Amino acid sequence: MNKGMMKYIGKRLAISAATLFVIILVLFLMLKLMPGTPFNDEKLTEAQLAVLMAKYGLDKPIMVQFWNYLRNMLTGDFGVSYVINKNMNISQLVGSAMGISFRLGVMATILGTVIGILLGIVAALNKNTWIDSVSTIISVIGVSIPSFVFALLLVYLLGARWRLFPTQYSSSKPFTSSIIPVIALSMSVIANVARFTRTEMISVLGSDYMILAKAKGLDQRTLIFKHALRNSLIPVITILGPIMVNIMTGTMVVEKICGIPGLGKLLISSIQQNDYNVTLACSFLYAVMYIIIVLVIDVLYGIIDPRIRLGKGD
Amino acid sequence: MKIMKKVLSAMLCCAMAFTLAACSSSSDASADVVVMSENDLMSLDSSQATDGTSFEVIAAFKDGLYGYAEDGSLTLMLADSVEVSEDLLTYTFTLKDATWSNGTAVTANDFVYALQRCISVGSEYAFLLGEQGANIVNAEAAIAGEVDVSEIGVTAVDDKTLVFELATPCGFFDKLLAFPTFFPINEEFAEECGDSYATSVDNLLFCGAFELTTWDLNSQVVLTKNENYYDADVVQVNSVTINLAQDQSAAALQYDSGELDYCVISSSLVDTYSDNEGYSTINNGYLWYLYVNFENEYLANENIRKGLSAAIDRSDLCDNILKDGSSPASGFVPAELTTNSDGQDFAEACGDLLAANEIDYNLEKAQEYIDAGLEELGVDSISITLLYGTDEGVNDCATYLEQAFNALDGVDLTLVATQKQSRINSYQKDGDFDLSLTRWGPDYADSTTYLNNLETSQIGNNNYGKYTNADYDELMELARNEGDAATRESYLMEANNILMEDVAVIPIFEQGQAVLQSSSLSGLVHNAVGTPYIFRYVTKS
Repeated sequence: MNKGMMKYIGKRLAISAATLFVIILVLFLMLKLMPGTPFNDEKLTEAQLAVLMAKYGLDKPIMVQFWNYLRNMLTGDFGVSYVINKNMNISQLVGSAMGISFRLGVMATILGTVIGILLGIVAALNKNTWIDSVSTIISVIGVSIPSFVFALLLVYLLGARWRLFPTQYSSSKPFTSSIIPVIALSMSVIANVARFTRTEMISVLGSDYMILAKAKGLDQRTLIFKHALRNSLIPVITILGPIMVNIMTGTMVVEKICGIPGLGKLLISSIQQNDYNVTLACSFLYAVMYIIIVLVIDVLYGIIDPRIRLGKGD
Repeated sequence: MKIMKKVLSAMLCCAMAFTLAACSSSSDASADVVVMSENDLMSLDSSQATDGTSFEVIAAFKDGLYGYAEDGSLTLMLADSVEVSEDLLTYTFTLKDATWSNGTAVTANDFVYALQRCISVGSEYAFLLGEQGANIVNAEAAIAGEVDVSEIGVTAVDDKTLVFELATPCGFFDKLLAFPTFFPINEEFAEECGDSYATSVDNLLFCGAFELTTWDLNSQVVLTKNENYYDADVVQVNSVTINLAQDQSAAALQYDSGELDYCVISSSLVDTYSDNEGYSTINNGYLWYLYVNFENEYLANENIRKGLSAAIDRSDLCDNILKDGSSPASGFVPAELTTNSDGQDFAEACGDLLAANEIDYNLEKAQEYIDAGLEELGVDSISITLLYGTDEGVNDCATYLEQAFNALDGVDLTLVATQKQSRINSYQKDGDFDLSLTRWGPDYADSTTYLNNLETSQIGNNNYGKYTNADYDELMELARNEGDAATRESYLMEANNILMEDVAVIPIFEQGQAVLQSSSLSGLVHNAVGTPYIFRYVTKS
């Protein structure tokens, strides 16, 4: 790895760390400014409230609280939950939630990408025929209808109506009970990937080197899979990062509908219950996921295309 | 085509497998019951839990001195017998032979420890031990930090004998003891677990009808029949699963698919399911009412308050807008909260206090009140606001009230929308409201859980409207020191009436809840107060 590359990655890392710091600070202050305390009960007396605030260190000045929080967080300690599963370690709470969200996200991305690419290829090879139109319609539907609508529809059809799969997630049947949410989440991936693949494939199929390859007498199969598809996939891979981020952050409502104990469901509950620490930890993890993916993409771009890492004016 | 056939046959196989699975689960004692909860678990530490879902789970895996019989009445559980002294201040309980899931016996000290712990950890429900609740000797002082928790009037004479000493008679002490806050905790085990007590299945002990066998955070809990339970014969199912924080629409679909035996549904789903054979409505114990700010010069006028109350067509609101089994309020104490010593429901015994004080719906009368009020105030019209939380599921109700009040000549009402937290903490606490749409859920089965809130001493606490009436305070004080149940109840009923005479608050409706219960499920006990559901007696055919 050359020096320029190192400098580029270092710069991206520094920017990511700074972004995360700002995110924590803003989240922390916003939550502090919310009305009420995490101890929701209207029946608490002022004296009891004071005891609780002192117990959790909430009586200290805001900046002291922030500093303590930041320090603990760096050691992986997100504090304890004040409301949901009271006194439970948040690392434990979000840890299990994040694992499930992540697994579903990856499954949906893989499923969506495979189907999307196939759909894109078929559409491109049958350009301007009815097959192409069907593929386009699927893409439009997939992009324009939110995933939770699909989730409800699938729960209704596959779950309640035809009883093929469980409607709700259950840890005793992790695979079958994940099918509905994974399909629902993969719809937008299918749509996006299919559109991209189709467009790229069409432009590649019409390029000079494809004509040359064809003139060399290569068979159709090698032509498509070895030459056309490979070249069309490069831009497709670049959109997978943002798609993945979208899925991860967009699972909230689907998680709620399908009863998946993921980060989204936890985040919604914690906001409703004013559970500061859990809200903060969930939001922070979302930010971390987003930033890591963006970072990886940035670095990959830099490796693929040296022009990018130079930046303007360098 | 070949692939299509394979897919089809696979789908058929799946469908058949599911049908078979459905057929095999018909035998009684091995049945698994699945129910939904709208909320997540907050705490399984009985000394710290405050929410219904946590109470349900705790009451399933742990018993108290008292519990609920199949008909919903109170009955002794871990207590074998109880002796009450003549002055009603000393309760002596003798315990049954029961064991915790680690094999140790349930002793009197487990109760003592649980109550001391409740105060020392600063539980939100510690007040149930103090003057607002049982008034156990020294409890109020211990909550205030003036004496050590070991000084409170709960003592273990020996392993099987538990004595409570009260400072004043408590007419509802037995009902309080059925509340999970008063359930036992094994001291040795809890101290050993330290901060992690009750945070996982392994950090809990059980002595109830069920054992907690699975706790998937944010997802579900599974309660399995406790084979070592002292009353194991009463439990007729193998397990009860509770889906946590489940979406209502998804739950209804799951109910349709037969995977779920019981769920609550929102009023938007009522039209779809009201013809379903499992559909019914229950009373969930909450009373919705309007706080009236007595520091507002217009609302301090009694005629204005009467006019506003009489402008609300509560039946129309419940039947045509809410549609979830909610019923019109008849006073400040809702129905099904508690029964008097003669067996009659407290609210029923009070009668329709709105009608008795002529503040029930009557538009003509309402206008007369308002006109009289405006004249007394010497103004042509009044302009007031109504505060409500958009996250509280009462947006339709608020809009309804806006229309009802603005239909009165001389009243100009504006809605102020906010969130529940800010309604309470930013507006109500600062007295920054005219009318505030709020609800109160009972903490224990006695009318004082409502009535206490409007005492003068509660100004600065839950008496947000700063209502004050010396006669009312006197009656409440009399009731507090009265040992005779019937006399006490008569004081409280009179107090309830004074509130409506004064229109201290404007009661609106008693909240109902639409539910779906599969025909194969029975024996589910529902309480409007305390532990919402008791699973001990459920059976599934």
